[in-house]
Amino acid sequence: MSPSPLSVVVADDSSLLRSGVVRALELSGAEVVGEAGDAADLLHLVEAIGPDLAVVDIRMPPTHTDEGLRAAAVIRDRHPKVGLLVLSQYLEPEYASDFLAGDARAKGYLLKHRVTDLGILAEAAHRVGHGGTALDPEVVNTLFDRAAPSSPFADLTPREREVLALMSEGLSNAAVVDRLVLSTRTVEGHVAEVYRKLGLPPERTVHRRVQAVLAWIRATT
Amino acid sequence: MAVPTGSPSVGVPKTGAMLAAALAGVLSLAVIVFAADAWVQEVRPGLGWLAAAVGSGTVVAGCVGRRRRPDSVVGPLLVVSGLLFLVGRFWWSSMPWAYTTGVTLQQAHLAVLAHAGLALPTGHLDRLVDRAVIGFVYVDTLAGAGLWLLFERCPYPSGCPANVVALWGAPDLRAQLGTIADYGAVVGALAVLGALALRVVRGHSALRRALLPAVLGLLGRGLLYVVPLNLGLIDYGEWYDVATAALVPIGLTVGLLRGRAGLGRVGRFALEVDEAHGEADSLRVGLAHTLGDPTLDIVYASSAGWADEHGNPTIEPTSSRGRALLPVTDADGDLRAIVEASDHVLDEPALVAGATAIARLVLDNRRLASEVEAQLEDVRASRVRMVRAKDDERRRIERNLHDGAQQHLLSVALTLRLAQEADDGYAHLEASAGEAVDEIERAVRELQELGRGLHPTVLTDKGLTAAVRALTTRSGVPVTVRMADYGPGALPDTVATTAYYVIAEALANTTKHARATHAHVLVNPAEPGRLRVEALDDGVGGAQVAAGTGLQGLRDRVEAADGLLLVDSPPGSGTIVTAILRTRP
Repeated sequence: MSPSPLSVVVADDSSLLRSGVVRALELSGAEVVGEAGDAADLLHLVEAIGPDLAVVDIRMPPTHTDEGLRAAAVIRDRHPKVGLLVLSQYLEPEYASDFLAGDARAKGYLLKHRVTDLGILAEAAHRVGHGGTALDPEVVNTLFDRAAPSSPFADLTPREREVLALMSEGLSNAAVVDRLVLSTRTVEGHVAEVYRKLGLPPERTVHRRVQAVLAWIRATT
Repeated sequence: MAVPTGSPSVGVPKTGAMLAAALAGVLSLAVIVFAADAWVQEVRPGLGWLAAAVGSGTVVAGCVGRRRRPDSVVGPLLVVSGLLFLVGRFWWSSMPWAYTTGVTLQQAHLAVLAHAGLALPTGHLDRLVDRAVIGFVYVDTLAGAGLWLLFERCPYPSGCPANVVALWGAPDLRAQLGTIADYGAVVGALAVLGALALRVVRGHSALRRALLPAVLGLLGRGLLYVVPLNLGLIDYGEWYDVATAALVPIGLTVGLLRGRAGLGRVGRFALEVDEAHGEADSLRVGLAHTLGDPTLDIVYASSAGWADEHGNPTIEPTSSRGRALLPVTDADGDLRAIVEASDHVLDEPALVAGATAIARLVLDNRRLASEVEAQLEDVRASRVRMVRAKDDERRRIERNLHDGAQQHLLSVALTLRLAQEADDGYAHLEASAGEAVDEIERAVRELQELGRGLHPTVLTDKGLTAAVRALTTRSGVPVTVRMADYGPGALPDTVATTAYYVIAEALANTTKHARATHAHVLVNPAEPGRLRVEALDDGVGGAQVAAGTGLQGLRDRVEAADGLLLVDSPPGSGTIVTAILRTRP
């Protein structure tokens, strides 16, 4: 745990859900420094406080479509150091890919119903708050589902797919090792094989790796 | 539909014709009998037959004329003239009363024929000069007959039957006055010819067509017989008299019936309109041609006033000298149009009635067509409104589900999860809370699915291609998609929504009913301004667009968007659902 706790702003128009998220984050050791009910409040808070992370619901008043994403774009523009974790009702990867396009550093995209999985929520919040990347596994799977049968994706073994999915979620090699309970060497072997089969240049940082994988999936589906 | 004039009426003319024929028969018989026993040297029995034929023929021609042109009195005039001709031939008789009658009415038929000639084709003497000429001819004829009746016993040196009416013999007085009457006859004949010539020169084409044969007949009779005889240029000859007398009724009859040719044009006009399915390119041109009046014009009544044939506003036509206004009413009796034409067209009432009847049919047809079109437009508009209302309602319900029920359920699940984390020793409660959270998560997923089916938010936010990809992800059958990247706003909203529902419904059917192994979705621009949306599968086929099915609802939706939906699904050969959507108005 870092010396000073992660400072977080939470924006969600449902106050009940918002307070639940706040408590979940506090349980994970983060410090919630502000709560907002809509995009305008969120922008003011970020402006005033400059937190490490903003957790943003995608659908907020007034139109309940993608206000959260638009507010996130503004925050990224004005305060590039603030991490952004978007909670989305949309399974469609198009919403995620627009958001993750460009520099994916300190960006996360989780499906809304993931909030009940406190572990995933906390892990994603801390990863993104510290400059990492998080992508919902379900969205990743949807991207894989769309891969054309003729694409090199079909050549991957089931284990390699699993590794690719975790890479896309934003996990480091070490985290993949933890998750799959495999040796570091084995995981590195799988990662190298995935890169070779998909024709991707090896990337060192996790967020650039996510971006490369996303770009590849977009290009081939 | 009642045509006021021009249709052959049956009752009265038939009785009249039978009466005329009976009279002509009796008189012909008398002429034949009198000719056989004539005091006039030149009269032989054969001449009686000829005269009977000329007289009866004129009567028959008159009856035919009456029947074919009931609106005209020329037919009856011909009948009268034929009867008078027969009576006039009684002067051949040796019997004094017959002789007296015959001599008196010897020339009377000519006056009636002149009347008929100037009155062609309607039978009315329209102009003052015509009435004056005919008046003169009648007076002169009566005067000649009267003079003879009163003052002559027998002008012939060889002797003749006695004038039973003569008061006293005054041959000198009669000769002097008779010469005046004879010159009067010449003047009358020339006046009739002159008046006829005037009508021919000034008249319109239809009148000329009717007059020409009558003029030729009168001219023949006048130049060959009346004028030279009265000027003493030729000697009197009975055969010559009777033979040339036949020229006039023949000419008149031909002239009268030639006017009927206009009804042929009405028939052709009717055929043209029929071939054009109740429409006429230009009603004005058709009417002008049919009525033989190139100056004819038509104005239409509209809710905004009067309009010409191009729809430009104009003023209501007013009556003026030499022009006739013909109203055209519809089946309800409302005035729809006014035809303005030369009043010559009124000479042919049957023609006018026929032509305006066709105009009425065309106008009724146009009105009905535009009413049907308007109703169809209403129906289309209401269908568009229904589809839109349905979509709005779906959007509203989806939003309520999403932002209401789902959020609440998630809040509850999150609260339970947090309670579970509290770790305060109530293990059994923790286990129950975990189960409850799992149940709530399932409910949230079901609500999400329900919401996606209700309204595709991704379509609005990310465009058709993203929405179709989302559909294929959820499809139970592998789907190959071939379409360009239509982002948000790339297609008109209606087109994108309609295309989306076509694909959604087709893929849902494929998953549910087709037992297919693969499906394809193709979206391509078709001919300019059209989008072709196709969904194919290799399943069992047999899909039908029947009432109550999703495909019927889909067809309603596509047609509301002014598109076309085709379903080709032969049993055992897969299904192709094709929609052609209009991307430009």
